[in-house]
Amino acid sequence: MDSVFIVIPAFNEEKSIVGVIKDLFSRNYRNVVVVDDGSSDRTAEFAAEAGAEVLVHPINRGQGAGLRTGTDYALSKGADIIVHFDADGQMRAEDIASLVKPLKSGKAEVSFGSRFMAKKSNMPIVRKFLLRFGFKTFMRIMYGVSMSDPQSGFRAMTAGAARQIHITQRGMAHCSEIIEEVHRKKIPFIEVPVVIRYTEYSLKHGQSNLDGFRIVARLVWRKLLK
Amino acid sequence: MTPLQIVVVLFALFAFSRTLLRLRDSKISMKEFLLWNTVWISMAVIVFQPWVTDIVSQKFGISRGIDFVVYITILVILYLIFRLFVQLESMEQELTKIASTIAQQHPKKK
Ligand SMILES: Nc1nc2c(ncn2[C@@H]2O[C@H](COP(=O)(O)OP(=O)(O)OP(=O)(O)O)[C@@H](O)[C@H]2O)c(=O)[nH]1
Ligand SMILES: [Mg+2]
Repeated sequence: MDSVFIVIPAFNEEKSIVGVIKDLFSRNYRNVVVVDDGSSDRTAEFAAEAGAEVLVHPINRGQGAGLRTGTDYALSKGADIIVHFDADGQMRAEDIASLVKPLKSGKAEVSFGSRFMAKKSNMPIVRKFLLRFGFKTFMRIMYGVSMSDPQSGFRAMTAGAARQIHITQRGMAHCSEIIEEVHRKKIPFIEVPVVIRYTEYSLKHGQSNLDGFRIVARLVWRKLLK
Repeated sequence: MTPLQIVVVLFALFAFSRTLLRLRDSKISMKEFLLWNTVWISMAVIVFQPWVTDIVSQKFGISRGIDFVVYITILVILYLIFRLFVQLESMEQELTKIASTIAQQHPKKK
């Protein structure tokens, strides 16, 4: 049996975290690791209460850092497959199966969830434009990678791939970083359609379109320093 | 003394006392102490005898000594900012490492 670990970075998600964990449990994903990133609310407490394994960053270090902590931990616990999942309830646990399947069958080592391969999505139109044309073009120019949804945080990887992928970006820029790593190290990957829900909660709580520009700035800066 | 001279002398004295204190509780090394005090002393000298800068500046083909001082100061400041940037980033990475280690040492599970 392959052991699948779900890693969830969470920052002030007390309103949604319990529902997310329950959804995962109900689909028989038993190894749920929540990385509470110095939340000021009761995220860690609620997550532990709901039955997840909770790692707590004493101070806020960013989503990328949370993913790295959770992934390292999952590897140390003998995970065969690691899934990166969000705490805000936008991702659906039912999509995990389609991410994990190509890894189990040996078709790929990493699978990325793509919001644009699925037909139904209620993503706001401006966001859609920025992600589809903005980030996509940026990734192609910068790294020579063509992907339908480079800013997707929904992905799965085998333990072998996870050991090769080094997440050094603390913030949201880890999405592009992981793609770059996969590309550079020639790790076989696949894109899988997933549905991401855009609710009023997630839009208020999540990233603004402006953050996208900040991410691009960070990536360019890093490339220049290298 | 002009008001500017008074301000600069007072600042140099203040800065000197600070570096002396830092040296005493060994927050900075003797080398750093001397380096910083060279800066403060030069400031005081220049404000009283601006012509001394002309000697150096003319070697670099800049006629006004004070312009030369300003150029050099900007370069130094830019370099210091760059160093700060790099140090800050490495400190951030250290912080992340510590946070991650602490988190993994004490997993919470019901
Ligand atoms: N560890 C950690 N996780 C964070 C941080 N900020 C957000 N997250 C988590 O990362 C996930 C995604 O965050 P969002 O802010 O919704 O980002 P997004 O889903 O890329 O952007 P949207 O499209 O606006 O929803 C959620 O599970 C958040 O709790 C942070 O500072 N640290
Ligand atoms: Mg979100």
